[in-house]
Amino acid sequence: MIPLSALRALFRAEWRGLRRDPARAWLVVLLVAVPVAAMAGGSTLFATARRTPDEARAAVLGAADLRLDALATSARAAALLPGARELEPLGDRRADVSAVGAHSVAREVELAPGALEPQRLAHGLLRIVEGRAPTESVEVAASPALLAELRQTLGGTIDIDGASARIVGIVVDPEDLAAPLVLRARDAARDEATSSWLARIDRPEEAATRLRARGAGATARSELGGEDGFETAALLVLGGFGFFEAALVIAAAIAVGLRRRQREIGLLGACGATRAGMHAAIAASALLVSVVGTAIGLVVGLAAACAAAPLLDGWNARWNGEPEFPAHLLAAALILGITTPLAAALLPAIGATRLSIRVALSGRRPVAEGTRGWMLLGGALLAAGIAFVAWGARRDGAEAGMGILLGSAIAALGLGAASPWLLGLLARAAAPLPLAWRLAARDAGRFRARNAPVVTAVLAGSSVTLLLAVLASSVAEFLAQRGQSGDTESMLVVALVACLVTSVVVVLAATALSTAESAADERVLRAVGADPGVMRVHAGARAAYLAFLGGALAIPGGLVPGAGLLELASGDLPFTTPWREIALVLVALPASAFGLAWILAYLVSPDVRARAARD
Amino acid sequence: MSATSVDTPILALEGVGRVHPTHSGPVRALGPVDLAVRRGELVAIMGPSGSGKSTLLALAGALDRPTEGRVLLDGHDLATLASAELARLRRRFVGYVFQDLNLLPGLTALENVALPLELDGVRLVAARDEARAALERVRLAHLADRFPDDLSGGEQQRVAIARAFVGPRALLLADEPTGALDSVTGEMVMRLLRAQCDAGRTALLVTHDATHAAWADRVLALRDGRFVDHAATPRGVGDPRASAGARSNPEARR
Repeated sequence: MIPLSALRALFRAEWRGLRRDPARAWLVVLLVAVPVAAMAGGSTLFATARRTPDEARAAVLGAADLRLDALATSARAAALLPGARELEPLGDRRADVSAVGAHSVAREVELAPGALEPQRLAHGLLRIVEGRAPTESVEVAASPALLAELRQTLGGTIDIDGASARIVGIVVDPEDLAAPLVLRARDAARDEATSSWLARIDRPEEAATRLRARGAGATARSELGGEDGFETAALLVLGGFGFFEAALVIAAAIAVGLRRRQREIGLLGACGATRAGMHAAIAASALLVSVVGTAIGLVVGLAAACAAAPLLDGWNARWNGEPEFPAHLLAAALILGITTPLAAALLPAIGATRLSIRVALSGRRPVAEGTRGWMLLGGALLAAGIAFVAWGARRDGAEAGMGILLGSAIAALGLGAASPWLLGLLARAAAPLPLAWRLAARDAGRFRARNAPVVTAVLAGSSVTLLLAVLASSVAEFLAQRGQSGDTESMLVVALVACLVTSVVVVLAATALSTAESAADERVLRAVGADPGVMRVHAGARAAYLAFLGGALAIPGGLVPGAGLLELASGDLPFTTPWREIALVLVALPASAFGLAWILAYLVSPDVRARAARD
Repeated sequence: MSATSVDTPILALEGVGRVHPTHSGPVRALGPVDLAVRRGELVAIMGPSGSGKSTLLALAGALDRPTEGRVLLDGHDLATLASAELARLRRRFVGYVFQDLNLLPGLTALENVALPLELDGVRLVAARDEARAALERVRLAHLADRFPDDLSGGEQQRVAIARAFVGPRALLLADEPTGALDSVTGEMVMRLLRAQCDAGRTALLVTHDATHAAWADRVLALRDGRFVDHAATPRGVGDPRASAGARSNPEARR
């Protein structure tokens, strides 16, 4: 049991450490806040834009329990629905609508006056957005789309099936704002047969079944608006992937921070701090940063979603209403935001406190352990992942999806686990390279604990890019073979840009961390007269190595699950190698990482900062 | 850890050796060596760079584990203690002073001195009272709320010595504590160490400086990981305490 006073003392030291190095703390806050904001904002916009089960029911039934679609008078309707406590007539047909010099065919809805009021059965079926609902047969309400077609405004006049009517309101179908629509008032005095009836009735499912058996169309409220679990699952998977990427970079940031404080940790050990106590303090500081990052992410994400919500109606042409906050997805963002840095801090914390106090105090790096073990672990995980994908591709349903998803994740982890060995290999092969490139390769090999998570993060992002590319190019090939066309390109471009931007951001975060960590090396380089250009190329080359290795490993990481999914899709889709995207990941990604890191190094170079200070 | 017997050496190294793994194969940093330090002694270890002085100190203070032999602190074999027990030992029995980075830069002088007590579960008020008294002993109570960056090198070392002896700790291990200090400040630090040993505590000091080693009761020479010579320092003539007027000035021995 760690005494409270010990935890307090250790946490105080951690807290002061955070305050003395605010840049890294804010980097972690940012890395937490961005996926939280994306998940909170994205899921809020998604929930707002999505048709909820209630909205789906209201579009057909209004507030009624049952809708009868059969031409019937009120007496006939009452006979068909003997247990109905309330009946509301609903006329729904196509009508010719015209005005001076313009003509259109519109959906004509006929309702009794006041039928859209809150207590009535048609409430929610349509929305009056301006003016009022018609109350007489010479009045109508029209939708903005119809008014635009007929070049009319509120107060104008239109002809419906030859009869003239004054426009007293503007009405919309909440599920189709762009539809030409006209609402007319039903003459209650004339009991004419109407196309549909809304009813308030007990046990509507039984009534609907009975009516359908008699050949009438009927829909009960409970038969509409089932939940779509796939969309929620897709959002969770996408969000989880974002947090996985963030966790890898956060782990690298925390590892760098702890390595810079190696001697402080040694000193704490020399004063009698236990490993458990230091782990708890590091976890507490990660928790603090994660709470701040999560709070910022939630506020920013929800505020952005609320600001963007009014624009949704124009985008999906439906009345989306007030922003809807999906509690389960927001809770998931909250939990992932808080737990991601904690999980990410685990390995660096164990690594930092595992050092002997003597080595920690010396400030020297311990003798690096061999990387052969990592290579073997990586190879074993990769083989297991491929086996899972192959198994999943020969199964059906949930088993297949789970096998491919799990296999892909295990294969990606295997490739990531092999990255320390590959970084070491790159470092050893760098002997003939020019100085800056050689130093960068050696740095990549020396700081494997920091660089391996970064390579894995790039690998994960690029794997998704290539997976989508395999699917899109295979679908395109499939359609081309049948002489059909389809838009697979736009989805692919969006995914490519998102994944590549993520990868570049990851590499840049890693570059910022490595710049901080190799400040001493750069002082030596400057002292021996290295040109500033060498330093910039050094920074650029470091970023390029990580991006290249991550991109190269993503080729099997993306193509293997892609092949598995294609096999699953009935085997008709041909496997097409996405050469263009492979080139993008292997060349464009390292090149952009190099360029951006070069610019970053230029901006933070002492000469430029001194010049800026003088100006 | 409680005292076992008055005659038991507070620190004993029996055939202790340490081999470090390196990229080019194992390198012997120390030993095997034998050493016994009695209660109240100030023992200085001298030797060239790479002779194993710091390794010996790290092994003596349970900062590292030997690859051969036994280290006994107050009669207890360190090899038999679990890591949590070793941590408790460092909180309650052994204090360290290094050449540099003795203090956590994010903590004030008072918080640095109180650190081992707080880690040991002592209540905050009590820990700070004791830490303030320790700072008083090194005449730095007025700088208690300063951060290390606001202290001079000598002041930082005095804070480190205050921390090394705060609470019930009996053994101080000092690795070139005067290495980064000027001669006057270095002498002040040595006087402080001497005073603590005269008050019954024990210190093992690694130094390059013969004038500082002269403050010790015994000086041991280490070369290539082995003791090559050791002798008691003659007191009186050549004793730096005499030249510093320590005997005529009681303040100097505080």
